[in-house]
Amino acid sequence: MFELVNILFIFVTFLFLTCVPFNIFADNFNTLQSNFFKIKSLNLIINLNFLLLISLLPITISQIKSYILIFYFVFFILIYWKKIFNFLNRDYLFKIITLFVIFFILAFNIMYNLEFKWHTQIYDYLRYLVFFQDGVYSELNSYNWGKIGSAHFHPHFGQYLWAFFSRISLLNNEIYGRLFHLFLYCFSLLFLVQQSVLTKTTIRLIFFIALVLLTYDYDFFSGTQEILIFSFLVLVSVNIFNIYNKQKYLLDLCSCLLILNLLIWTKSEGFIYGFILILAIFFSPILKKDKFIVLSIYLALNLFKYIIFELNEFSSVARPGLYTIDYILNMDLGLILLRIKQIIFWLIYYLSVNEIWIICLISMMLLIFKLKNSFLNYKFLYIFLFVNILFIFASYMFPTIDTGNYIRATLNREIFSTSGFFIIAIIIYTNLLLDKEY
Amino acid sequence: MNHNKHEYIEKIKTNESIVNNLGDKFQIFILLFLLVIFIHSTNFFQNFAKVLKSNDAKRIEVVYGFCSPKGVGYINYLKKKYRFQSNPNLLHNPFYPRLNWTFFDFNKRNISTNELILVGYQGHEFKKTFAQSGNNQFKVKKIYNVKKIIGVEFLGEFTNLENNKVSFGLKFSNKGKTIDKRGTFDVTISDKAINYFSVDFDDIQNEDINYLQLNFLSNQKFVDKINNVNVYFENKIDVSNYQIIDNFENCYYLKKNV
Repeated sequence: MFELVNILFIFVTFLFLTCVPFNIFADNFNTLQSNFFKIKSLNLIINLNFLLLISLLPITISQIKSYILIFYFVFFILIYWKKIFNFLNRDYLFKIITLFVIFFILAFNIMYNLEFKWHTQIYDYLRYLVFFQDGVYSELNSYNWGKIGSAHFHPHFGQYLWAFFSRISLLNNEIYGRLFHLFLYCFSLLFLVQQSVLTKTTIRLIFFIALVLLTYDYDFFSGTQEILIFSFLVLVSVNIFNIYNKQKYLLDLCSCLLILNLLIWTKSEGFIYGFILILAIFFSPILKKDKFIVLSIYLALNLFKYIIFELNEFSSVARPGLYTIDYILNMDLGLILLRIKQIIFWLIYYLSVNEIWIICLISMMLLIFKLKNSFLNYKFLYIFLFVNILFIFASYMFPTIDTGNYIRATLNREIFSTSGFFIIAIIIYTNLLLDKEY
Repeated sequence: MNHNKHEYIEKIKTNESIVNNLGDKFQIFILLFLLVIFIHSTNFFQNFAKVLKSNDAKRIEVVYGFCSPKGVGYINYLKKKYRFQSNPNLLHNPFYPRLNWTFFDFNKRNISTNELILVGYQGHEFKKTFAQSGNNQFKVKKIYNVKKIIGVEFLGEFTNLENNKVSFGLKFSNKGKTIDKRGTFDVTISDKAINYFSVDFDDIQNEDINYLQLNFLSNQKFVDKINNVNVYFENKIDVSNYQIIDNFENCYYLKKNV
């Protein structure tokens, strides 16, 4: 029975992260045409960046967790003590209760299944254990992981979050850390449906549940990092949409940069997704000056990561030897053609078994016909799709290992994680479809 | 251009759509209907009851089994009962992911250990039955923790083939590496139903084998009469050389004899 109390506790803790540092009911944000979910999203992203910074310091989770909890609690009281009754607002409550219901149902699905996927067992969970057992970031390099698991080095942020929330929970169990992945997933989809032209809360919630039904799969909650990438891409797709379609885009640009930072510390591929997003921003109608600021910040974030890796003597390459110039230059045409054939076959296969991808692709195709003059406002979707497919081809065409197995082991997860960015196409299309005068 | 765009977006935002005008009760009905489908598709009530009824250890056992096939339940049991002072070595079926995650303690990473956990121990000597994969080929997949091959056994009706000579080769593959040992073994057949031959083939040592293949290089008549081929292996671990701290079926917790 204690599990129930713990789930409630952990959910409230997660909600805290969306309520500070900015007041979600503050009036000054209304001038930026925001709703409270937008501020919630920004809060969450800021807090995750804050946790990312803490994860790089030589401080263990047990040393810092109480301070963080107290800090957030005091902060919360300070900014909401006059507006505490706003939380009882009918619309707000309805959304949060639905979020909790979906979270609660799926939490039991995860808590019962418990199984880790192969990658989690040989890599993710061992890294998680370092943080959970009071290790710090620099100590990730203090053990020869090849003896007991995979020696490859990947960014650590997902495992740190997992460990952090496991330690925060009342039961100190790994499963409650994984529930943060679930919260982020549910929250990002709920945030996305707020972009719908459908103003009624009930209909938005119907959309939300439908999206969860289409995208939920236990495998992605078994400790791998794809669900984090998926959720970050869902959140950032809304920001990019706003950058393309709104005059006041400062808040979205900031959110976008903060998410870029999280992406590059979550998975090695995050660097590429970040690059694609930067490309999308470059083709947006924002000021040239802003574009260069964004590019500079993106480069600075990557440089920061590189310096941290170098200081800790981590390999900047996740799997050394996977791609070598010599190998690429000496590949014969037959091998290239064989690999192209393999990639096309498996790409089509995995896309066709992923319902959300099918719907997104159909929506994107219909958008081309429907949009006519305003197509340029949504071209970020096609830029992302095009570069992402290029990336898939490049990453599976040139590795030094047997690509058949490599594709089968990883492409499914890649396809799922990037699907997050395209779900907004469904929302855009429904918006246009339901608009009478269009 | 920008002005038109914003006008257009504002239009989308403000227009009341057909769906927005649907009755409140109907919307609630759809919402609840979807929720019911959702609850059903995720087996919520079953999961809920099982999580509340059984603890983590039991649920993990359901997923991974206790001792077989993966042994996670057994390792968790050992961890709880013996409170390891170091991170024991672990030997198990390498065709499953490594299981060190089940007990690895980062704070004990530098403590040397003389303990060993064996999961799926096949015995000091064990045999594998080969399946015919071609006219003169027999194959067995996924063999692990082998020190050497110590014998080959042919079963069948060999009454008219006494004193016939047969030669066969062994070939194995591990992670794409194929080692060919063709023509290594020459034997003379007896007319008994079971023909057992001792061999000493230790090239296989410390290899986790994807497949082991036995190829006959001569005497098709003999091959045609074979019903079964068994190969005998010596395990690289002999539990009698260790102090057994705990044992359940083919799972062991051992300590090196000093």
